Amino acid sequence: MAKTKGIADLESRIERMEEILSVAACGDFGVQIETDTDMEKADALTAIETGINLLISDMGEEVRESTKKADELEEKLNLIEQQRKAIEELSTPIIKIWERVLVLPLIGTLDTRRSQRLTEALLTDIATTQTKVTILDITGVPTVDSAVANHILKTVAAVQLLGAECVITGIRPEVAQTMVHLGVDLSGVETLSTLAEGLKWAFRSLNLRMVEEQKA
Amino acid sequence: MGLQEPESKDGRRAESLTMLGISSIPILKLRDFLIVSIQIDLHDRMAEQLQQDILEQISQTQAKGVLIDISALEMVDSFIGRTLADTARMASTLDAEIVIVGMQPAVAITLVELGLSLGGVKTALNLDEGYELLQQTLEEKASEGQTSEEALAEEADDGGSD
Amino acid sequence: MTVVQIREEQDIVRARTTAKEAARELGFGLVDQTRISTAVSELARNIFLYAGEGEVHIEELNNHHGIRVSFIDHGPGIEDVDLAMKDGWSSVRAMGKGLPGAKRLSDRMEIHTETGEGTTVTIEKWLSPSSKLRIAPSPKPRGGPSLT
Repeated sequence: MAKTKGIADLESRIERMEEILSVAACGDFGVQIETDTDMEKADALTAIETGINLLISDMGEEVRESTKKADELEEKLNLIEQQRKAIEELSTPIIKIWERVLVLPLIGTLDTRRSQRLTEALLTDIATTQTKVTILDITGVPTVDSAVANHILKTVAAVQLLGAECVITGIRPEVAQTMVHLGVDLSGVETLSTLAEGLKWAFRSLNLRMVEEQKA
Repeated sequence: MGLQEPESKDGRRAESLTMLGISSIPILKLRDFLIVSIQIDLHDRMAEQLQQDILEQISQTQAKGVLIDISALEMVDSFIGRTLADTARMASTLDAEIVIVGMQPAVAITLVELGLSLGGVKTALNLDEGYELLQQTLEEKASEGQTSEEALAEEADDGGSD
Repeated sequence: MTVVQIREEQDIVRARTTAKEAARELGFGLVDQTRISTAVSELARNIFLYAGEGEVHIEELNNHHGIRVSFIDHGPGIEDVDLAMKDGWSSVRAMGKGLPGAKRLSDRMEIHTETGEGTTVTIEKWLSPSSKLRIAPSPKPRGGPSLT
């Protein structure tokens, strides 16, 4: 009789272990098997139960750890995305240098996406401020291959369609060489060597004249 | 389906107007210039009708310039773009300059990506600018005409002295 | 999915307005809306010009990632797709130069055509990749760590 009761007791304990293990398998690591704290009553099963409890709490810890890492990773990715946007904004400042004159200093490489965003921002600015002249300064563009040149020419064409004027400045000698070698057609575009020349050109286009003040 | 009914009715009305030779886009005359403001989404035949109307008005009024305001146009595809460019070229054979004003930024970007340059049609940011551009062009034309006349006169003089 | 029948010329306008509205609802910016409506205008006109009639199907891509527009007709088909895709940069006068332009305005374009059977052109425009950037949730551990 005592023995059957002992077996029934064992069976229920094993059932409890199975139950707890299946709960843990479902991802809930907050569960533990109730064990007798009385060391005297400890038997072979108690060791297994303690082992399972340790395993479950360890796994819980691992999962918490990896979730935390995933969260951190996502946070970092978001940060990278934010920084990418910040860099994009920083690298394409549109500066109003004079009444109805904008300067767009291009810095870095131009891919399709960046040049599309840039054109969009520039054209929106031109339309809202009714800007007459845009100076596109490419001093900060390291290399101008045919793709980059194509992007620049498209931007210029879009500006001209709006009815505004566009001049490209800051073409370095080596850039001029590669553009000619690549067969880039700049015939429909005004090009000048420096930003200062560009500004003078803008003044002329707006019928403004710079006069040196005579000292009395 | 019920909702589309009025639209197609409108379409039919526009079409019947088109068949009557009325593009339903008014063309206003202001001194030497014509002013057209496109306020509706153009379908192809309307665009063609507008081209015809503009050219007829130029020849009737002897207008020297046409301002076409497209600030309300949300889209210019290759057909409308080509029709506008053609109209400008045809007008110049009638001795009238066309300036397209107020193109939306999104439209300009799309046109360039589409690969249309509008064949060098003159554009301006707004009506004021367009008006100035027209006058400037006309003045240049007039002075060119003068110089070429002078040149001709000089040639004639040379011929006489020889 | 929205279907616009192309039978007469005004249907071209209806197709592009419907596509633009759909693009706006999906969260596309103004320039992308304009790119989409312009591409739809070009391709819907091709149906009207070459097949006489057909259908334009406008649908959302999975998980709000973009828009897909299909142009289906049972017209003569395109004999030389490569030639039709040739760029009409300077040939402003040529008719039906909508294909290369529409391709440039969209992120993906596919053409299925058979002479005498008809043509299906499908274009897709995707919302910007940054809006798609999401980490997949970490899979729940199955086996569990081994006891050491």
